[in-house]
Amino acid sequence: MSRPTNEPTNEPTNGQANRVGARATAAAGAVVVAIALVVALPVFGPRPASLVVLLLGGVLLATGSAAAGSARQAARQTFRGSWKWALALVVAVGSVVGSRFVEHRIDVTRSAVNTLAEESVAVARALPVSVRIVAFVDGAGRSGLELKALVDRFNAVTDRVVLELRSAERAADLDVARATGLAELLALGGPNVAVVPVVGEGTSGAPAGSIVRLRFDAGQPDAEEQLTNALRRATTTTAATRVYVVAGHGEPDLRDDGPAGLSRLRDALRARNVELVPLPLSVAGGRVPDDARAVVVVPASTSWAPAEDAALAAFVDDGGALFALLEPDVSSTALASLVARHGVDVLPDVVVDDSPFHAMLGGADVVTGSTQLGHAITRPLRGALTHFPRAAALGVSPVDGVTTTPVVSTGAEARAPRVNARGPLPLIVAAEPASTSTSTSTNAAPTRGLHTGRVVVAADATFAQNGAIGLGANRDLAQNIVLWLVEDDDHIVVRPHQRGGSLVFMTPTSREALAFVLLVVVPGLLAALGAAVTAARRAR
Amino acid sequence: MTALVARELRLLLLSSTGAALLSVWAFCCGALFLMDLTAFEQAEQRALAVGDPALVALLDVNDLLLASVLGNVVVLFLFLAPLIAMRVFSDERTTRDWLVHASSPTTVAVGKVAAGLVVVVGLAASTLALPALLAALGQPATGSVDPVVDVGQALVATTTVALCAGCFVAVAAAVAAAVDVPLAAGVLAFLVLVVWWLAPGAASLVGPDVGRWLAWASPSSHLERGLRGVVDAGDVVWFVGVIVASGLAAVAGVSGSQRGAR
Repeated sequence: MSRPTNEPTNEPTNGQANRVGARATAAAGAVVVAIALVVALPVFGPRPASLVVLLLGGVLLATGSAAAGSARQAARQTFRGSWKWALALVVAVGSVVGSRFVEHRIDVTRSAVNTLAEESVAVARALPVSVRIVAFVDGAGRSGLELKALVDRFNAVTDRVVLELRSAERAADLDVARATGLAELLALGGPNVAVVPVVGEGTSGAPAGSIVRLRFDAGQPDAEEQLTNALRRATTTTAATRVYVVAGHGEPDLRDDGPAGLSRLRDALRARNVELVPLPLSVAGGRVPDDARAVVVVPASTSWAPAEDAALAAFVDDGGALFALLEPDVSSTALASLVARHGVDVLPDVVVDDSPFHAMLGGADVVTGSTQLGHAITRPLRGALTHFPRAAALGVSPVDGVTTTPVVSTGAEARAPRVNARGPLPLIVAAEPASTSTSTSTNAAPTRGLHTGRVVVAADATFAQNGAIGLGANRDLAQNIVLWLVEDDDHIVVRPHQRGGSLVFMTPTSREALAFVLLVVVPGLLAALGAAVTAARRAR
Repeated sequence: MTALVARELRLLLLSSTGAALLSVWAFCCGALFLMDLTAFEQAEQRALAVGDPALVALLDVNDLLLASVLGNVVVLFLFLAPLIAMRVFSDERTTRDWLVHASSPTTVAVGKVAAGLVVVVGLAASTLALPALLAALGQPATGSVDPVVDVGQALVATTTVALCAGCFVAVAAAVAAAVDVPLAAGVLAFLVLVVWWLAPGAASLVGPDVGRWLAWASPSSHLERGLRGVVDAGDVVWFVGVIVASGLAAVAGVSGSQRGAR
């Protein structure tokens, strides 16, 4: 006759020992199952083979241990009270794992603001390889949230885009920053996101030329367009865009690392797949090469030959993009007349700045420029200040068929004494054919093949040279100008779904009233109601 | 079951504790709304001062204000859910009456979890007053003719908050069902919820692969889409699955306690 299991005893029986052993091994089996689901799955990925093996192992261990204890009763005892826990565990893990593979979304917002624009969907679906988006932004901050939301929209149509949020303060992440060419740019407040195509099985073997870098900030109206084009560029093989810098007349050298050189601008643009190439016009047969996307003219110490002036004029007249960097009293007459045809007048004077900045930056000749937020060149700078060590005075005159926009101007304290002009005076002027104006948020397609027909005139060449390119946002400004000039002819214009904005205007009185209602009246009423109910119940 | 739910709701809400809880809830929601409203107004003033139409078009009370407030309201439920669960399970266990009289632990546990769910869903629904306020206070930016509040987004966001709060209260109930001491149940449930909520933050410690799964296992990563007005079937499955699993765990906890009581 067996002893009842609930009878008190001082000595463990064989049955009790078996039960304990069976429970322990069954618990171990359950742990293995849990590990298989929670740890092995993420490590090995949802590959059926590894998952099935691990799950099977866990289940076998659990059931085998119960059988090995030869204690059917023990197993029944073990699981009698805990099957609900086991079921709960299975449901929980099943829901977590299952939800990972359920992919169906409905964007219920008006205008479908959480859905990619059709152009972006087309790019995302056509991605030939996977892409890592390595972002050095604060994941908990607004920019991080917006970037995650944007990438999430891409993930709704493709599984080939993976976001990696990194921190510049972690040593391991800094290696990633170096590998993606972001390290130096991060330190300078430049691009903070690298779009890296995944080559083969590796994730770090992408050729440097195919990595696209961009700046991502919170509240960026064209964020979707930027990322869409970055994805497309990163996954298609494109040769570096060639921009020629006129040479041969004592101009600042692209290889010169000294203060007068242009090596820092060259390096910054190389990271954006734009190659600055010296162009000795006299040697090049008096013509600009066919693959030139733009020509940069920097002040020369000797004058140009008439044939060179004519070559540049022919290039610009044919719609070629020009970046004219001027200096007071150095600019050639031919160049002045060329830019005048685009609505920019070069005045015979130097701008002096009486603003508080000049004392800090080296004297009244150093002019501080404010950027115009509505233009594609300067919008990414978000109002950052730029500094020009010695700027020529410029004027703007309307020209038919050309949209001329001063994108950087001095403050009201600046003046050009000889021509009797007062600030704000233009320091950087952008001109483009009126039909392709980009002064609003769009980036319209250029007009003729490789040529955008755009011209930018800078009142001071020094701002882009090594000695001053680090001042304020000069580097970004110079870089953005060149990128705007050579904007891809296959650049995709993306119009993200938007709601149109909404505002809340409240007077101080209405605000106080609202606060009173929300913080005093409603909570007070609820508390009073509770007190009344309690009192009534007690009275009963 | 219905009688049990009604009884639990009466005990929860028609009491001085319930009134205090509702009062504090209303105060906190109001304070969160006013704080986010102030931040929105500051952003609005900056954008208008710059005068860039593209920036003004980005100002949107639905994303910048409503979603933000509701995201913070969810954090309130982290504190509230353990209180509700503690009250529903552990507090009453001291009287032991339901342990003796209830015939089915499943009925008891499900009834109590359902009562907790009704409370948090009601509280979440009360936040619909905020979009109604915004509809009265806001106005479309220049050039826009659309209504200020996106009703679809407001409804989906509120539903998401309710689902998340439901998860919290169900998990807290599962914890409370297994712990006899009310205060210990509340504290333990709160700790469990906080660790669960903050789990994605540990991603940097465990590497990106495991971190992704940790994030997926946490409710915080299933909120974002809903707050933006996206109904994601995966998120809904996740929330419902966790609520059901936690309900089952509460049933198991009640079963164990009932056996112990008898």
